[in-house]
Amino acid sequence: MTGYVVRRLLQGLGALLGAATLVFIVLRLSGDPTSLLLPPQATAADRELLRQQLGLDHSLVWQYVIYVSNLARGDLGQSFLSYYPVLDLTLERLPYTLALAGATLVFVIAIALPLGIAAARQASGWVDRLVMLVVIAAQAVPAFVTGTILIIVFAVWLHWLPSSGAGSAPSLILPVATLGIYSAGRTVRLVRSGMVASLREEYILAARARGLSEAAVVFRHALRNAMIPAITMLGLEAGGLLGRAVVVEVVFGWPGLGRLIVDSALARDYAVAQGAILILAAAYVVINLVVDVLYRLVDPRLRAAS
Amino acid sequence: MTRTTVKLLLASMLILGAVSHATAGTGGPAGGKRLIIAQGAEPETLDPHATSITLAHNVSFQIVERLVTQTDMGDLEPVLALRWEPVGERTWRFHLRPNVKFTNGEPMNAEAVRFSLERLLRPDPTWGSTVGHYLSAVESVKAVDDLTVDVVTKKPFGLMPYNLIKVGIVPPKHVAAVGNVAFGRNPVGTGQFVLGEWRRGVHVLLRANPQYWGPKPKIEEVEFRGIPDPLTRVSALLAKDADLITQFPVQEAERVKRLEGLRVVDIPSLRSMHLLINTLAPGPLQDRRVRQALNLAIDKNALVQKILGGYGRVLKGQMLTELYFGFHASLEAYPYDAERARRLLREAGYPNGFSIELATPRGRYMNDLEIAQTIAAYLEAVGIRVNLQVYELAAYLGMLAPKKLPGLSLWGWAVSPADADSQLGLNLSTHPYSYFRNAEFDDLMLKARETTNQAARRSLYHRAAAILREEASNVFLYQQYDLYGVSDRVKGWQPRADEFLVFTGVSKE
Repeated sequence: MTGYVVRRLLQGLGALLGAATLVFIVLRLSGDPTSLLLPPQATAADRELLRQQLGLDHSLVWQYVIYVSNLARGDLGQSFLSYYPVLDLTLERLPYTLALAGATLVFVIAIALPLGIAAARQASGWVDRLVMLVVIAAQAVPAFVTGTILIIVFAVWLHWLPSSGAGSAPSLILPVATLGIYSAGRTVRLVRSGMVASLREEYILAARARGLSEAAVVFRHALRNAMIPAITMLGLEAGGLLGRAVVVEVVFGWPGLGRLIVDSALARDYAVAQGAILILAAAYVVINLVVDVLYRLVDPRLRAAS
Repeated sequence: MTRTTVKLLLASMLILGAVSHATAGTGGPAGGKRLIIAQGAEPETLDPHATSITLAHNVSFQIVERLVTQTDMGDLEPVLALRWEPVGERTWRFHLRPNVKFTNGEPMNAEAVRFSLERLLRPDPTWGSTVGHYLSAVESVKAVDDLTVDVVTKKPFGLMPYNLIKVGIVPPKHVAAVGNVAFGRNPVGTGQFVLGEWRRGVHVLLRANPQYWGPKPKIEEVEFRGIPDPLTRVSALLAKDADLITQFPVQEAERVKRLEGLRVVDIPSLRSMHLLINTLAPGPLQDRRVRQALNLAIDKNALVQKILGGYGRVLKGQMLTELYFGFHASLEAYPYDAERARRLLREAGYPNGFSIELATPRGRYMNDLEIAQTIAAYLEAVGIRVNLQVYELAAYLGMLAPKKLPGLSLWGWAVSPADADSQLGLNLSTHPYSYFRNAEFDDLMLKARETTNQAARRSLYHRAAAILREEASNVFLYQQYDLYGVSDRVKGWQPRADEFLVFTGVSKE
């Protein structure tokens, strides 16, 4: 197990370096921040001075060498806009993204488990059809549309919830619902198909023959076996959530890492965009590792295989 | 299974912790005492020396004040300087307002002014400033006595007092104590407001400065929120989560105007929209007749009425409007005359027109893509075949200084100070953004820059603007308006052409 974890950690570091390199190249191929930073009347000398200050006067290869060697020392650099350390700027946004993704995960599980089980109990029955209809609709509508509709209904019409921002606990509800509706749809389908398959197994028949209550059959025998693919899926989902959160954070003005990435990429604040993506990628790597380890703990067959 | 349960518990505690951190409540008075402003973003820094972005200055210049500001009609207005005059050829003397203190108790005096200007002249290598170029003409700053400062320029420089509207006066001891970078989060000044609390990503909260030297604000607190999505900004206004929103989307104006309890306010802005013509690359655009034909071929009035819903005004054959020092009131717009445009193209040797690329950003200017598409249609109508290309803003800006722009591209600069030097100066052959060469124009502009007599300076700009019109250096389009959404609870607020938010006399019911 320790060997496995170490191997996976090394793989994760490789993935992070790859992500850092990719972001470095893409950002620099697509425009120069000096024109964005300086007012139009700035002279050629002003521009050159700023390029020197930002280290943009070096060749691209040299900039990359500096960047990677700084990374190796844990230095993510400074923002071009505020000169604040990138690590501080990203860490103050991280709790918002974790809160959004974490609460969404809870929301997804709370919705997906009951709906998935209900649908699977009578596959192709009316409950199943209704649930599938809602689920497919939820997946078909893009987040910025769902988000805008929720804002109009709950903030503008009903005045129940804040329209945007992160000032208070209720302000988390609409972004979580927007982000969760899509993921819940996927997870419902996964739980349903897992349950349908598992309810057809012979051990279910055996359990029923032994006269166990329906609840014991469904929850103790069917659900636990159906959960193995669902755990993996939820792990991947958590990564996907971090990515999809970008859209939701922009729509709701939620101050998470996603919005920081969008803002800094549009402003070509290279160091911040690179740093924020790196932190997000690291979170993704860690979540996947945790899920895989968890998976091995749940399923002894996999431990034997490695 | 117990191990999994523990893990689940740990995970949920982590989530709960993050949630409670992210949603911790805010204290202080709300309702009538607090004015809530929603702009497109939260400022990156509250140090007015570190950024030249207007939405950041909208917050930082409430805290930190300047020697002078500009009124909406382009005139200078005293703030921390009571008066100023040129002394000899290269010196501007500023007489400071007496008995003004920074909110940390430091005196606002000649030493503080000298320190503030020198902070920009000799920036620290670990901290940069994008405001420094406003002082690029300055040679030295001298404190004559406690309330008198001399700014000595390298050459005579008529624009000096105007450029100082971008330079905040900061307290030397406090800056030295916290450091240049950290001042951006702990700003101290002499202004109407002090920084109350800055919860990063949530809001910046300003509180009225009880010791303010001038008229005290009627509101106790101003809260600034950053809401990037324009529709969400409108929703925040409708849901009463915000009292005033900037950059109101023009598409929503007609719908929201009809609602009760709020209004959409518009004001002619400093932004002069035009097509930049690349006269550096060989081809038809180097011929003045072709450039004049472009100006004649486009119905500017129709662009303003049909595409902008009337939120604009056709430019009078120049990049300047009456908001700018140096505006030439008797110049006329090129009329819409497709027949004359075709004739000029024939004379220039293009009876069958030619092909050209037109570049535009998307989402940068009001309805920019629709404007570019309509312009393309007008040009096609006189036989010019247009290949329209759409760019993301940073990539678009990135082509400007390296001279990589195609034949035509859509631009509009709102330059502050509102002065011909900065707006017309974009066509100076030495300017990094210029794609135009004219020696006579260059001479007039440089002469004006060294003229300290303001009347003489003005008449030089009139001549310079007339040359640009005759040479058709650009396709002059229209002056764009800024839109704001304002709740009826807000009383006494007026928008400004330079997009700066002023809260003097503003109250909330």
